[in-house]
Amino acid sequence: MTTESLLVLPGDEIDPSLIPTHKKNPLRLGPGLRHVPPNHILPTVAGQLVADHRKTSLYVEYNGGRYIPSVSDLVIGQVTRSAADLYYVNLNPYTPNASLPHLAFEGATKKTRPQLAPGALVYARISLANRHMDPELECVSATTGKAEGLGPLTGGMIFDISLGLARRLLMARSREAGGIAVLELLGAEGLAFETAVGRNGKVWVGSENTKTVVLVGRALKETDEKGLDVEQQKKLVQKLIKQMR
Amino acid sequence: MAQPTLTFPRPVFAKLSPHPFLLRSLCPQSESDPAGRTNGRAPREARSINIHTSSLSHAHGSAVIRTGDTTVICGVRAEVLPVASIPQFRPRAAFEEETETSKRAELKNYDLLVPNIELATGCAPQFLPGVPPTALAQTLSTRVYSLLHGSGMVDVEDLRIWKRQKKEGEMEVDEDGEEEREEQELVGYWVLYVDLLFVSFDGNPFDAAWTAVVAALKDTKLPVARWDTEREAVVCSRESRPLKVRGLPVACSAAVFLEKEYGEPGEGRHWILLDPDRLEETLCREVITMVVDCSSGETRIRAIEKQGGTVVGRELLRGFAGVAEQRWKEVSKAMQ
Amino acid sequence: MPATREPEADLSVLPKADGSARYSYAGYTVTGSVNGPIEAQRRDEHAYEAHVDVIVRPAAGVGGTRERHLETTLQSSLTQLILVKNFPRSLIQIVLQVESAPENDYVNTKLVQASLNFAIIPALLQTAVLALLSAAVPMRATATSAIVAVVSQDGASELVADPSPREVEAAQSVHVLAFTSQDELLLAESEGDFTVKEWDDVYDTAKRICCQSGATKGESIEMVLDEKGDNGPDMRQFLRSTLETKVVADLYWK
Repeated sequence: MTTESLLVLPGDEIDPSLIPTHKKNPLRLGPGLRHVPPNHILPTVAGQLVADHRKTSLYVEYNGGRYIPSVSDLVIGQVTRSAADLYYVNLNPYTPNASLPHLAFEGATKKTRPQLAPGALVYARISLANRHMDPELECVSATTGKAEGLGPLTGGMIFDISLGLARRLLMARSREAGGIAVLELLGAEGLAFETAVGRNGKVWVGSENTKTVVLVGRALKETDEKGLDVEQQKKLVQKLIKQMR
Repeated sequence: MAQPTLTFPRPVFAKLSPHPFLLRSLCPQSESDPAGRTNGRAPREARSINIHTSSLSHAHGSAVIRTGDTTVICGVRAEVLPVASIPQFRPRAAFEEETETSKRAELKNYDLLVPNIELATGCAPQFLPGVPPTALAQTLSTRVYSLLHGSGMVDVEDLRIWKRQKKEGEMEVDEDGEEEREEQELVGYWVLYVDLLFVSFDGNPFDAAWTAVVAALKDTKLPVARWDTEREAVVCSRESRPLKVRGLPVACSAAVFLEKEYGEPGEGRHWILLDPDRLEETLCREVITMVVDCSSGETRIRAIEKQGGTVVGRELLRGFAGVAEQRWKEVSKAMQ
Repeated sequence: MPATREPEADLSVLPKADGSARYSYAGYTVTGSVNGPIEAQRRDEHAYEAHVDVIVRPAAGVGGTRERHLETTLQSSLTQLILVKNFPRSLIQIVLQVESAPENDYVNTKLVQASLNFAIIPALLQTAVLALLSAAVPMRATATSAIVAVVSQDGASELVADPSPREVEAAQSVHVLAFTSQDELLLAESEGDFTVKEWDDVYDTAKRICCQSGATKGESIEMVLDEKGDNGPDMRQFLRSTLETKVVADLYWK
């Protein structure tokens, strides 16, 4: 993968030589960039400009800020109330609730839909995000009709993490590309737990053992706050395991 | 079937979609329909100004200003502030030289000029009864306050009240050194309360308010006050003398109207609308105010305020000084 | 009071806010927090764009008319920088807490002082921009700001960048200018007694402080000689290096 990187601030000119071009594929703009007609591409946030020539894509890598819903993101939300045919789900404090239709669950019918009380957690995908409308969620894949791991989360606990860490945890090869190995290492130590990562900066950790839930959450939070690399994560895991035993 | 054409009278169009309404008006449509603002003025044309002074009988000075549908009343009321009731009073030591800076600091430190602006309920639809002063009223008050103190129009000397003693007066109250010089002691100040009331509000409040302040101050006559030793109080005589007002700063405001209501800045055309009315003010983001004083023969700028956009750069601002000069001539003529 | 000659800033100092910054320069220290986009109150809601709410809190006491004026000024400038149209019907709240302001040792300090209006604007604006960048609120451009006073000494007038409160008081005129990162004049506030020519000189000085960058250093050498080496800080470079530190720290895993 050929990538080049460079610090950009909002409104900076991007050197045209950095913009990937391809004969057939159109350029794809990722987060943190906007296109000003006719042919200006300007960053909107401060971060590292990443150009991927293979995929002809360009985006700005940054961390921080508030989660802004975007289509097909996996998020963890909390049901605030139920209306006639949908649940209102909170993704972020002080933002308008997202709506989750009662029938957007695997195999749900009027009779068999899951009953979620206010306060229940759901792992969902954003099906509609539009600046003029409140976001909409779904817990079922529109193409396959399967849940694919989405749905209500029972037991366990939610931990808040930074948006950047959430993104890294969701990477396909989080250890190599994202430099995050803490979950892998904890699993290798023989702890039995499951996680769900929401792009809105939330991690759900579930386990039979409450101690395990707290330990995993603490390990994640510490990795996030102190910015630990893989080596330091190893040390942290060893320390925590020692403390638990 | 023919499409029914939808037509509205002008006021309805203005209410429904104000931005296209003003834009269409500014773009020349044909030879017979020249471009202009919706209020019939040219972009660089200000409303004529009417000034009437001394209309309030109980104020020491007053003025009523009317420009278009913006009407503001200003009353100046002077009250005596004895030195004894100033908590942080610090008499000037004999060796301290009196400078322009120290005089201004005196006015400011003892709060001798107190402007207040009220936007009367009903002067425009957005002002509701029974609410605390709006951000606009507070902002205007601050701007008038800054300019009043910054422009140095009022000399603190005019506001001082002295206790004068005859040479052969009692010696025990004075220190030995004082006796040789002029035997006078500062006992109090006149505090000028400058109250402004908007009776009718149709845009450009600052220009109207400032003109009213200047006109009212020029109209102000303070009673001659002195210290009465026997009664130990300040007494005023019936005779009064006019307050000396230095210079004639005139405020000149304009708003920048952009062709694209929600477009990128710097995109499309723009118009600079002098002396904007209420409709224009709601449609413009960028505003510029320049206060100039040409009374010394030379154009001196007293304040610049420009915010809310990036259209007005160096060149436009420089050019705006000429527009402000023109406005100064109009206003100074109206003042006489 | 010794004023810091170099601007200093820390980003993301408040753990609960979406973004925050502490900025100190020339005796001013301001902490700012940014939250947004969040749900707007019904009366602030705008159908097509985000409402930017600026709250200025003084170091002592509660805010008065002076703070309202500062808020209005900052709000109109920041609305230009933030891509408000991306977040219709929402609110972006910016709270700026003044922690310290340089004191004038020569006079009794009063809480209400109109001339202070001016001198504090650059610190407030700079803090707000840093906090917005820390909150990753999408923006059109960044901005930098400077304050310049014209001080007349023995008949000759001299330009002083970042004047002390004493100098502000004695100055012929005081000017605050802010420029966007595209070198456009964003904000201009001046007070005092001056001519168009003087304003022009002030504009040059302020622009040099706000907009110089490594690439155009060649031009400014001549100016440096005129100003007795007092070239002022390079605000744009400062902004960039502050953000560079943050981005490097954020992306340590890269």
